[in-house]
Amino acid sequence: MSKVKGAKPNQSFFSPKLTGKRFDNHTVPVEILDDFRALQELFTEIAKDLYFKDHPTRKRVPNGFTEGVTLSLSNISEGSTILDFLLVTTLTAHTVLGPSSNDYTYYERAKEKVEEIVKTAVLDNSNNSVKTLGNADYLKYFNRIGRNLKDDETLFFNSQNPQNGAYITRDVRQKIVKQLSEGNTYNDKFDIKALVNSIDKSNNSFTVEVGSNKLTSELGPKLFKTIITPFSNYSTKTYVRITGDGEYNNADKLIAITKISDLDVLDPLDMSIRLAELSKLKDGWYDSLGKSLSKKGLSLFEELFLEHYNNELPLPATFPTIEGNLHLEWTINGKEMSLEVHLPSINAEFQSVEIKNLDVIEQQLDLREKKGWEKLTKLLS
Amino acid sequence: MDELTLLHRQVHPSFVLENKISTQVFEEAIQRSSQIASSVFTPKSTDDGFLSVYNGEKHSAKDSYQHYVSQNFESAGVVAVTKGECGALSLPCIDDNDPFDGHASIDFKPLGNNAIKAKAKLLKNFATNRGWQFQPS
Repeated sequence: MSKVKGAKPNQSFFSPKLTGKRFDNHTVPVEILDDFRALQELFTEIAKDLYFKDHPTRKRVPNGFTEGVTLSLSNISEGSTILDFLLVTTLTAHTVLGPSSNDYTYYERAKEKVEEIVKTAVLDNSNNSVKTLGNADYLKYFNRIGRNLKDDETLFFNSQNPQNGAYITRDVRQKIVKQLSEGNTYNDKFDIKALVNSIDKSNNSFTVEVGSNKLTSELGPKLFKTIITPFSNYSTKTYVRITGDGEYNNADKLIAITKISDLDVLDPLDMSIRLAELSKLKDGWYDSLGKSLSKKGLSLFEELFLEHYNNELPLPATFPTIEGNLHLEWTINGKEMSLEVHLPSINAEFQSVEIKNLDVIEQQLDLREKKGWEKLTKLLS
Repeated sequence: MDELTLLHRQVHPSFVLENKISTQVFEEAIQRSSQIASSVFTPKSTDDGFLSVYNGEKHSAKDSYQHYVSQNFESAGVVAVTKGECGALSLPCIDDNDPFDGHASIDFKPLGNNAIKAKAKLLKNFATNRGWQFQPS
């Protein structure tokens, strides 16, 4: 890490700690730096607010106040991942600001204010505690702070004192954003599998269905080429996977698509979609006989399949059995192959029949173990 | 029935994945997704080792579909194997006309579970190569 001119070891302005699987090797994914950019912008906004509060007769901040002031990452150290940010001004040859600086004082107070808002969200369960401290103008910043964290990750504001209650997780972020927003909505990333329901060329928009939820989004020319096929095949359930940014309501339901980052047409045999369909089967689904499939078993199997199934192999056609198990089938190289997966145990029976000479191979596989999946790969290859 | 007589089998909607995708992009997917489950040709435990089919000499595929759904059973369409194909797998076909005229059975009775599953795969392969005999629009 290159050193900033004039930096001294004790001049760290902000020393947050990141925990979670992604940070175990003490590195920081680039996308997380976007969250810190938003935090820097929020510090600046609050620093200005505090200045006006201290000087109610002033209409403008003094010349140069907050101008060119940035957080500058000076070091990443171990202990999960601890970041050290200096407060730097780019106006005067990129120098580090210290406590004697007017900017530093206000940024320090702004940081304390943010910590107070975050602590309140963590510790106070009332519905408007954050609102009384915050300001609706802060919403646009909090919408971006913690947005790139995953479910298992936490951003502690103070690495020296992580237990002080000032930390952001996805849940804490949602709580803050909901309280600051007028309609109790918040923005977040989304990752959905949907059917393309309609295209409206006059409005340059298209609508997708996620279960009973219908969402409309802008339609650019590039996207049109991709979605025309799943739209034409709506009745045969050709799904698309869409990722992007969207607006969620108070009940954490996606209510609007703000931006699409990626849209892919999914394989008709996509395992997650198929398992979701099969999970809806009720007892008696086959002429009053079929048993419903264990949801716990389906969820465990999906997890194992996504982690271990060899992507080089064709996807299986996945069916239910009348006994409430899964039956995966492949037709590869003149062989009819199947894997009956017992739910919820995930024990499986593989069978392959060579059509030409009727050679049969049978094997029991324990798919809870990685070895079971490795054996399956060999059997299918 | 002779060797070429078609034996129509109804396909439960849960035993077929969609196969009407029509673009070149999905050519490979079409081939794969038009699979029907080999369970279509596996007798249920309550069937006592007999797989119910319609005798193609007495019921067209469409007739068999209409007859089947009129009894409040679900069908996504009709596939077929021939009596000869069953014979090649040592599966006798019985023209039993019970419980209705034109009912026939493929006899899996002497076989164990794994042998039933293996033969069901081969019947599925014959039926898939032959294609849908009837699908409701």
